[in-house]
Amino acid sequence: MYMNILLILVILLTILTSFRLMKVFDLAAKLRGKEPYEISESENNMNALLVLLSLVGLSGMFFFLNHKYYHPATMLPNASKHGIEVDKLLHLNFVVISIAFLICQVFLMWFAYKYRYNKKRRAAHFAHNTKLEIVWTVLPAIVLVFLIGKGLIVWNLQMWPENDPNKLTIEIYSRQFDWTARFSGEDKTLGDANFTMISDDNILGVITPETIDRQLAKCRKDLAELDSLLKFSFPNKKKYGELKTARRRKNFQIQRVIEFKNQVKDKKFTTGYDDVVLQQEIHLPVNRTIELQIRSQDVLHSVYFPHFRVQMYSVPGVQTRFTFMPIVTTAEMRDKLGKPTFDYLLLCNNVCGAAHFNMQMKIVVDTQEDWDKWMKGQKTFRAGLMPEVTVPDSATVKADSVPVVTMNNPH
Amino acid sequence: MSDMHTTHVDSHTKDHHDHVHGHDEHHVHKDSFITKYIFSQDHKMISKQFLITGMIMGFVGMMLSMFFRMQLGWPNQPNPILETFLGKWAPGGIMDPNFYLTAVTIHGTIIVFMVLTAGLSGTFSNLLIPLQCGARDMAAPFLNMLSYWFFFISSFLMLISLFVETGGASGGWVVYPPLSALPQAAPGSGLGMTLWLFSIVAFVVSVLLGGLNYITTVVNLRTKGMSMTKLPLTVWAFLITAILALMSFPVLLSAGLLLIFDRSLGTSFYLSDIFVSGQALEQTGGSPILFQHLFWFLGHPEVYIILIPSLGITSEVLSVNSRKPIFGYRAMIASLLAIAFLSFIVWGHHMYITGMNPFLGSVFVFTTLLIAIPSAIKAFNYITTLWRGNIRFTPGMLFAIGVVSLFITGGVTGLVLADSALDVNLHNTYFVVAHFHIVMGVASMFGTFAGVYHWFPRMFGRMMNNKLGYVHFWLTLVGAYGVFFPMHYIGLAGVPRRYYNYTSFEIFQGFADINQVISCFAFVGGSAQLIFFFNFIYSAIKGPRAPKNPWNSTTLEWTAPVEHLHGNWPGEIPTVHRWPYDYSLPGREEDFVTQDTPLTEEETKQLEDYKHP
Ligand code: HEM
Ligand SMILES: [Cu+2]
Ligand SMILES: [Cu+2]
Repeated sequence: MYMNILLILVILLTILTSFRLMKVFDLAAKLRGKEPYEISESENNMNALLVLLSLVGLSGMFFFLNHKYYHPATMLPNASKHGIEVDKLLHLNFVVISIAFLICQVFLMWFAYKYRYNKKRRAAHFAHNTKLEIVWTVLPAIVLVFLIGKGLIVWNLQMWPENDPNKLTIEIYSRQFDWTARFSGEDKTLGDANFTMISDDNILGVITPETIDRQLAKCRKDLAELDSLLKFSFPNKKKYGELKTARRRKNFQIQRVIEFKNQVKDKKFTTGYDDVVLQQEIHLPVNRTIELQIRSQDVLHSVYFPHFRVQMYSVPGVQTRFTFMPIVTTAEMRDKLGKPTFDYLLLCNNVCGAAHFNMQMKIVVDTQEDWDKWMKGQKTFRAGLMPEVTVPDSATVKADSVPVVTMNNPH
Repeated sequence: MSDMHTTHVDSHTKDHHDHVHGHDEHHVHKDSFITKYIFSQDHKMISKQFLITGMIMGFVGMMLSMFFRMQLGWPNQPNPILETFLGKWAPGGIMDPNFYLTAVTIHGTIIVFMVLTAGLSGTFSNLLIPLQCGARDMAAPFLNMLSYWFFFISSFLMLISLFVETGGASGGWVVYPPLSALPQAAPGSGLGMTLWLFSIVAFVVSVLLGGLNYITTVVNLRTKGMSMTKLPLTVWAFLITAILALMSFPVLLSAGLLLIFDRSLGTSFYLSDIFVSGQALEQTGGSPILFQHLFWFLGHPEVYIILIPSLGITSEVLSVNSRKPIFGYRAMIASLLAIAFLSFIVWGHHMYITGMNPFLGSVFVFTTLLIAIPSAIKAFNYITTLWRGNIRFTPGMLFAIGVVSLFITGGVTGLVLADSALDVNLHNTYFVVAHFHIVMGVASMFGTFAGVYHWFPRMFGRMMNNKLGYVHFWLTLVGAYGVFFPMHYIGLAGVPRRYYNYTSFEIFQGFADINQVISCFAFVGGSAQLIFFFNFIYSAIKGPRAPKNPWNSTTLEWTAPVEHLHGNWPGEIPTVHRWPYDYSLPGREEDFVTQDTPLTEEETKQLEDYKHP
């Protein structure tokens, strides 16, 4: 406390002294007969020199940082097929902009230095020059057309890869604050999923006949609980409102789940059985086309695999995609970099809340054989369900909660 | 050479608008304290209000950045400074992750809107449009006053949002829903976000009232002889900025309103299929991407709304202090217009990887790279303006040269980002942070400083101290490049922005030291601003008196007396005879000829010859 007061006093005193000092300087200048707007020749030359120095400083920093950071060891090593083209394009762009940057800065600062004020000289009255202006409109235009052309070729390659019948489809699913991946299994199709089907043991909301029954039972139980809570009167208005909202949402959810239940006859919902759901770490086979299907549970996230030159937003309510092919296994990359602990990562690159900075998943790229082995060892979605499948869904349902559904259902 | 300048002394001496204002009687009014300093309708006073409010907000924005730079440089290390200033947001001196996000969010919002939009346009459009056009005041002084007070309300709301229990908005300055729409998803999306939204609503109102005034004044209240092609480039820049603002800010307002509806009325414009904190939300059918389209439809023009006034100021300051006409006056106007037009059709470059159709992405690549052409023209013209000049390094001039340097550095990296194929890996990394801070943040900040140093004598009738100005400039330049230049390389290594720390990633360990270096540069740059604040306050109160035209400038604002008059000129408004860049005309003793100096006989003859050869 005393420290703070002392600090404030010191600051105030400093300001007051500075005011006094400034006044003295101003008076001294006045006595010397210097106008307040006048800039002496030595001051002017000094600044001109500093401008020249800053050119040295700026280009020095540029070359130093390039030397230190612009090479594969510190930049991201590439590990995907389209990434090769992307990196070439980046390098081309980098060279072009470096040249433009250096030339412009040199001219700017050199002119500023060279044409510093001189009593004996008079500035030129040089207001325009059509030829010059045409040249420097056309020149950048040509360079840009060239860059656009190159860029769009790579863009198309990246976004519209050839269709590969042997591709592996993986769902990447984001939520605050972790990633979940789902492999499509033997049938090469991901089972249907819906956000109303989400529960603690079914993060992705995969729809199978069993999960529907379980979800319905659970929701009805929740609803009954809410109803019994709402029977009491609440002094706390806010809490009461929250419970009402929760109840409304639960009814909505139950309705949607019932809709799925009604569809079981036609749609079966069995494609999800052989899916494999994983968190924290996944393996990918090398040299195989991988199609990511991306969904989000709550807010926007961004699926970012820096080493594969892959990034795509993960958007609630919309499915996005990205197709790529890893070409370097983790083991190879570790050798290449000389870092035995290196791992590929999946990061979140769109701010999504407090733990956004730590939302990651480890990616291991295996040879096809290793990957097959790894895949065999994974539990399918159905296997994960097994122990509980036998629980009859009606057992947990309170009789009085059922009518509520229909009551709130206008249909 | 002589035929070169005559082309500019040309045209439109015919249009004799007679601006008879009822303003002259204002001189007799005695203003009370309240009408003079608080609810003032005088454009010069309103301009100061904008500037000072902008500076206060700028200080807050800067302090927030100092705090998060401490966190980024020395993550997880107790810091007594943070503990003292942030209290419960930094328990034990370690910053709370939610507060980190709030800090970057409010920092961005304050700098982008309160400082570089209102603080910059509000200050200099208000000061210079009437004075440089030769008008007694804005077209609608009352609306002008309202514009300031809405800005004040907006700033006030933004500040108090930092102090609410659950913390300020924390979704980044772009406030993408659903994060910003769901209080369950982040504490900052509660009351803090509500205040953010209302602050922005007030802000849009302020911008629109101001913009209407700027446009009307430029179009209608130019003095006799002041044709559009005799306007200083500053006024052109403010005019184009105001048009951009008028066309784009309403879209932000609608984006914000829909977000307010989603937050409180249960609509689903931006929400669909969301499961959060154990509940499935009923909202379905909306799309978060809609918000991004609306936001960036404002957002991209907004970045030019920030930059263009700075470029206008730079044009003026460079020309005055090189004692040379600005090179390519018409090309400068044309490129401003081109940039303004194109800025409405490039917004998609912020959204290449949102799942947008790749073909649409290609279109945005094309339009985005087009915008680089007029930008390049401007840079080249600035450089040529210096060529064979006779340069006087006032602090304003140094900042103007700084603007050009930064505009080049930040502009070229835009080309990389514009290439969608490259943006895939660079989006939301520090490369983007480096790009836009240099080209927009720092460049515009430099433009603002150039303007303050240059027009301070016009605003306060006193001079700022040059020596302190030099120290301020050089430290700020070193700070700015030192902070943002290395960030490019961090970005190229794939380091994401808006991360609270990087300690949990082995692949980013190599950048811990560079983050400390950056933070140190930030502290240098930050402290330099204290010198500026001191210089500003001291000079406003005690600085030496300024003469009427300290920089030997040609434009009309320097023909008005130093004393503040409501109505600007005591007698008749000066008539304009020539363009604003008659510097170093051959055959004259003085190296500048003010705009209200009639043409000599010889010049008139040359003009006639030019018109009827
Ligand atoms: C040569 C011209 C320019 C080009 C080609 C260009 C291109 C781009 C692109 C493609 C992005 C998106 C990067 C991403 O988010 O992944 C971007 C971001 C940005 N640019 Fe530029 N830019 C240019 C000039 C400018 C100027 C003059 C300004 C400001 C005055 C500016 C301000 C910004 C801002 C504020 C952002 C990022 C906003 C954010 O994500 O928070 N840019 N630029
Ligand atoms: Cu995330
Ligand atoms: Cu943009």
